Amino acid sequence: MSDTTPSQYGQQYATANDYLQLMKPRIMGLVVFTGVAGLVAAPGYMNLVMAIVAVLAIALGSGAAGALNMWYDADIDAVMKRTSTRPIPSGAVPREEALALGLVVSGVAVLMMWLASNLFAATLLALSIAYYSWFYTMVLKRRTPQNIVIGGAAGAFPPVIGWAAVTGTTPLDPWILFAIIFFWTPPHFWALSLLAHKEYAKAGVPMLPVTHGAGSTRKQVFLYTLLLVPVSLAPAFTGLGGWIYALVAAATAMVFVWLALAVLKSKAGEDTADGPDHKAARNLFVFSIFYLFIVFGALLFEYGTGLHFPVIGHG
Amino acid sequence: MVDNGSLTDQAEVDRLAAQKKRNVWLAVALFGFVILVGMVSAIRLAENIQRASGAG
Repeated sequence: MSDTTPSQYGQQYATANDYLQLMKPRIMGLVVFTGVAGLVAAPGYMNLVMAIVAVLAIALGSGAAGALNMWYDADIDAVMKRTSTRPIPSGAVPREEALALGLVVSGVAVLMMWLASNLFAATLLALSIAYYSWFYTMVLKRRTPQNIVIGGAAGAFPPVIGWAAVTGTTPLDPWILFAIIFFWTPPHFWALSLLAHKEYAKAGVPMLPVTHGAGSTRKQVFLYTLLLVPVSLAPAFTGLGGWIYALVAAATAMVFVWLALAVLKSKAGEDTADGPDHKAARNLFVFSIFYLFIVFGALLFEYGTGLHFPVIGHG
Repeated sequence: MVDNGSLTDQAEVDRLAAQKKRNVWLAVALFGFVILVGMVSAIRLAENIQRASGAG
């Protein structure tokens, strides 16, 4: 994963790809996708170049927050197998360079958003960067098992920022998109933590399976999935989402609930868990990634193609 | 027997090669940033001129 150039002494020299990895490009992809959905669904006109710059600013903001997260969490990343190959624990990038990259790119992202859209959207972007890199990473993550519930709001900001970039306002609709990502986050991360709970325990991170046990986590995963169902269908009732969105959201919600039910019935996260138990948690984790792309993709499709036929509401 | 001199030379060559690649990417990023700021400024100026002539 880390594209470094090892010397004959075993020391590693950072390549451009190491700095890209610091910015968590996969998360950046999801952030950009949901941000674009908010931008496209918002009523009003935005110059295409300005829209591209605004999306780039959202991507850079996400990357900057990722770099600041890796700077602060380098000690945890070094302990956990899944993250030990990241640029800082692997020795490719010095910690202070990650901090510098995060701070500089944060400033550039906020400035670009302000230039391309408005001060309100730029402020929201600055808030979301601070929320993730300071409030989630430095305050919540090592203190409470509710870290990813409260911290999940950081990842939920992009559609609101995208909407604000176009309109300069944030009415109910973008906050519904915010809520979809907010309620999606716990089942997504807890499915992963059921698989990696020993790693989190080793690193001293109080994830729910570590502090409250696997059984409690599986119940919470199912509960948040049930809460996600009405939230994901809400756009169809406000006029934000049309028939295509409603059908896609309903179908994917059913699959999500079915997979969460499989996790609830399994022994995932227990010491006695076997192959099918791990598979249930892995299936939910993998599907949850596709879920967000599919649901926001349906919204993008409706507005991008003009096939937006409201179920009820204004449209 | 290990030739420490040539190993050090090779390490220096590797380090410089990695540094050069990073510098190229940094230059590309800076150039892109300047172009973007220029384009955004030009669009803003055009919008303001249009608005001013419309109001006048």
